[in-house]
Amino acid sequence: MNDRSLAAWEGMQDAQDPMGAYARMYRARVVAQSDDADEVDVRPDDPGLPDMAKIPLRHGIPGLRVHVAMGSYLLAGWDNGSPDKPFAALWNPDVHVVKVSFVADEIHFGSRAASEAFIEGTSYRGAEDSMLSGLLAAFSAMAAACSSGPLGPLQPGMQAAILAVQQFISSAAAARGFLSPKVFGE
Amino acid sequence: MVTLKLSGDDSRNITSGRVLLPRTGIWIANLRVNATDDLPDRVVLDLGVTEMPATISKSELIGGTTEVRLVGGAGGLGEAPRPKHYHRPLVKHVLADLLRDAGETLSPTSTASVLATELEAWTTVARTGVRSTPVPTGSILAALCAVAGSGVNWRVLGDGSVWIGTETWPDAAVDVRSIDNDGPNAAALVGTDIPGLWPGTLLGGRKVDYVCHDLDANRTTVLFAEGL
Repeated sequence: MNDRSLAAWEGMQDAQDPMGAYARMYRARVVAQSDDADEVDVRPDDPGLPDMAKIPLRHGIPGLRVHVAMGSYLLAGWDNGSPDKPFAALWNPDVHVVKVSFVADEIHFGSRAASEAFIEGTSYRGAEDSMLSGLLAAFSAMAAACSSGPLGPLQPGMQAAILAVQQFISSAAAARGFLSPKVFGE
Repeated sequence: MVTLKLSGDDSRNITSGRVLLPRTGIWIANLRVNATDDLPDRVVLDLGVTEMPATISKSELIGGTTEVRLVGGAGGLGEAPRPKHYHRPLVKHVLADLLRDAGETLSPTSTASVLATELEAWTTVARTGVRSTPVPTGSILAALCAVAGSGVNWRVLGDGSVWIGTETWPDAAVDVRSIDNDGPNAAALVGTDIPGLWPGTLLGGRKVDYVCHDLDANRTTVLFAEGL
């Protein structure tokens, strides 16, 4: 098809669907994101499109909220090709994720039938610290009581128990109290 | 006498032509004008008792006369608007920007409740794609009507302003004589005063959807909004 024929054909297409521009999706850069992560401000690469503020963000997975680094790329479009229903979706794979939240009644890892409950780490670690402090005090008192007399043979065991508790506390402190201090749950 | 007013008292006679008035969109007129000189872009179609501001979109000198196509208003509704995005705008805000960019004016008879309708958002796209295809302002106006509410419509009025709103279907203030009636096609041919019959009115209790004034025969073809 030569240029003239092609131009005529393209003109027919455009006349047939002048609002076809709203049926496409456009590469756009995130320039701002709402605190709740549900909306983004984007700047499309195409100069025929305006900067678009506060457009709903969709990840394709209900319950998922993602905070991304500014400058991340995704696609912008409109529901049903209607100019009053913009949205953004479909991230570039190189996007740097700052924070992910997943809100659901149940979350299963590894298997749909997974039934082991995750520890609520902050509360559990608090209880554990209290218990360890108590054990340390008890072992220390018992070690002092075993310093002489008929209980003297128990003292090495008491000292070993004290050392074990202290080493655990030290290791936990080195890990900032948690194995993964950047994973949170409710 | 039907004339084309150019500027001031300067005018040219119209020897033949048709004026096409749709209920939705832009009215146009295909005319043969008794002129051999260059015509200005902005003119006024003078139908005797009604003056219709318009823009010449096409003009060609043929055999001692000039054939022109007029479009109602400033002729900007076929152009691409400036891109802009809105969050929770009122229809009148979007409309004001579209019409200002197009050089058009809003009719004060537009429906106030439609203009006050709030939208979730709005994006005006100018042109897109590899071919930079422009999106006509008129098409965006139609999309704006579609989301502004059920039955919302737009058109360029005879006075050249852009009306947006819901139809009220007033009686046509014109006396007509029926020449022919095409029932299956909901159409009629009538003889009437040219300025008095407009789309969006009732003629004999029937909704006028499209009007074509034939200046040669002094007759008007009417299509009714029936079965739509």
